[in-house]
Amino acid sequence: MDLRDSYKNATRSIAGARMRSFLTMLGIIIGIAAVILLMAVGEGSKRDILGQIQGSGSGNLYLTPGAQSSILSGRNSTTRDIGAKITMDDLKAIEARVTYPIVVSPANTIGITVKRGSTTMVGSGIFGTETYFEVNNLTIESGRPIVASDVSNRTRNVVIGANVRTTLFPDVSPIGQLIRINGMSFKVVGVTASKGQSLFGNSDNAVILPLTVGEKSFGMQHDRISLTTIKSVNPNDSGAIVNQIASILERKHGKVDFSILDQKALTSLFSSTLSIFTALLAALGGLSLVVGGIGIMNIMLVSVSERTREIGIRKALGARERDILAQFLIESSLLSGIGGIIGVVFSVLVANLVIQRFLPTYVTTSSVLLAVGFSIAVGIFFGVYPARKAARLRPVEALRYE
Amino acid sequence: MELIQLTDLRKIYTIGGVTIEALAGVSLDIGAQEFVAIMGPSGSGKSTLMHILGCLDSPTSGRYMFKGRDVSSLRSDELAAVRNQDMGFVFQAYNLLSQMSALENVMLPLSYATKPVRDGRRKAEGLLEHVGLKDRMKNRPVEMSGGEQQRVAIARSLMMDPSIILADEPTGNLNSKGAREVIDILKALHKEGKTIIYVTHDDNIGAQAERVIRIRDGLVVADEGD
Repeated sequence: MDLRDSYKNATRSIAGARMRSFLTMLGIIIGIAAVILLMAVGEGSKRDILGQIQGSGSGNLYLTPGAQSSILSGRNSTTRDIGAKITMDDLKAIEARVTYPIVVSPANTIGITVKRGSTTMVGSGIFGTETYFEVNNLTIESGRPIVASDVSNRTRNVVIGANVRTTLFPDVSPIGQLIRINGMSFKVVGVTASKGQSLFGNSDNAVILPLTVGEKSFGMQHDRISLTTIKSVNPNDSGAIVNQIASILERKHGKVDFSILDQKALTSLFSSTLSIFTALLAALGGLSLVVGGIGIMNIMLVSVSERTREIGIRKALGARERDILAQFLIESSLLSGIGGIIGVVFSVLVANLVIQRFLPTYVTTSSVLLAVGFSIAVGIFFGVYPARKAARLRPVEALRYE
Repeated sequence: MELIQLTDLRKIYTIGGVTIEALAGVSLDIGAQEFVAIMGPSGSGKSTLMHILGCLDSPTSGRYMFKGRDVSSLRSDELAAVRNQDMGFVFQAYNLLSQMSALENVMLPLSYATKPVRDGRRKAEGLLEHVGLKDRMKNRPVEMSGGEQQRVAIARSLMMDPSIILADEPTGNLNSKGAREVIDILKALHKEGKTIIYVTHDDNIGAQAERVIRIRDGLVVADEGD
């Protein structure tokens, strides 16, 4: 039997049971959509986060206590290095001994409640120094930044983020006004320009306080710096700077109880983590595709038993086992292939028109090819058993079937 | 040389632990261009004999020589090729594919042809014309009477120019007019030189043949020529 005949037979059989064919395809459509959409969300987040790393300032190095990349866990130190810490003394040593031009910016972050009058909002309190703004590409929209004297004098002056300003001061200038942070009174001296979400949080929802105030008013140890950003003035120096800092701290601490990540390391770290995340999402989608495949197998088994007599007739007229096998395999792969194409069109539309509004999505060509290839493979794999069952029917028994 | 030579043919089924001997040692010869009726009560083994003759089933033991070739032990694909080239089947229940037109049904054996057939479509149209269905080619089986469907089936059986037409109770589902038409067509085909073997339990239909083979309990009990 030539392929054109087989194809015609298969389309006729699929069209002959429209509702059933559609429902069978629906399993594949949903499976394909799950694979493509989940991968699009995974890929979109990956690109978004990597974009934030790129935007966080090129040539920045991140120094954290603990021998592992504690930036990822968001905690000050890993459980393994509970005693590990980076102190102001360490940072002074780094500033003194690194032979390339650098800017060092220590910071500790806690969750805070900010209140003005009857308005309250939750944000983050960043305890930093005068270098925080330069290193993090933050610009001052009005007023002034935190300056060195604020840090040395432990003044209760703060700079607020753009969202904090619009929430607490919708109609008056905040400069010189008092706000209450965790119940204590502080004076607003400046407002930062909006920057949006970045790798280490959203500076628009933050209040920046002098590093030394943390120890005085919030019971923090200012000698435990959870995240130090070190800006290399010439981005090309960063590799050499990492090595210098590492040897300075290793000599000082007597062991490697710290992590230094540069932008490249951070990119590859996030990139590989996020790729695993995307692969997991794809596997999740793949599971539903397998469920769709089982649906195809189920309906093909029904089809084989419904058409036992037809198989008998075809065999009486000279159909060989491979002719019957091909007929049912073409039918099952056509079901899954059409389902796959509908699924691709549907999910590309949904990804770009709907989900894009809430989440960063990015549909890659490889995810589309993977999904379509997998769907056809599913159609063939789950079609083999019913098709073999049909092909092996004995002609006499098939003809006798009512 | 005889077209068909059966030697001590046996067919034994086991259904649910019960062994049934459908054919208990049948030996007979059928020559080319014969017009044979196989008759017997239900359960006599006549359908089993028909299935084996048509290569739809294999004997448990014994030998079946078809055109001088032992077909009793062929593989399923080889049997399929024999059915396609040499056997034209007509069934009691017509066995047309419901989703296809009369013409497509007649052309169906072409899909499985192991040798190329030229002008298959024109040939199928000619066959339908020959059985008096020139105006019904595009109709599907549900739109036809039983007699018309059986004539489509006869046209289909002729598509590959088979050595034999095998008809299993070809008039069993038809009224007397339809049965008459079918028998007339079979007779006409016989006159044209076709070998025709049909199974029936109806004495009047059986009497139309030139040779009647009677089967009972899996054995040939009578073999009468005109």
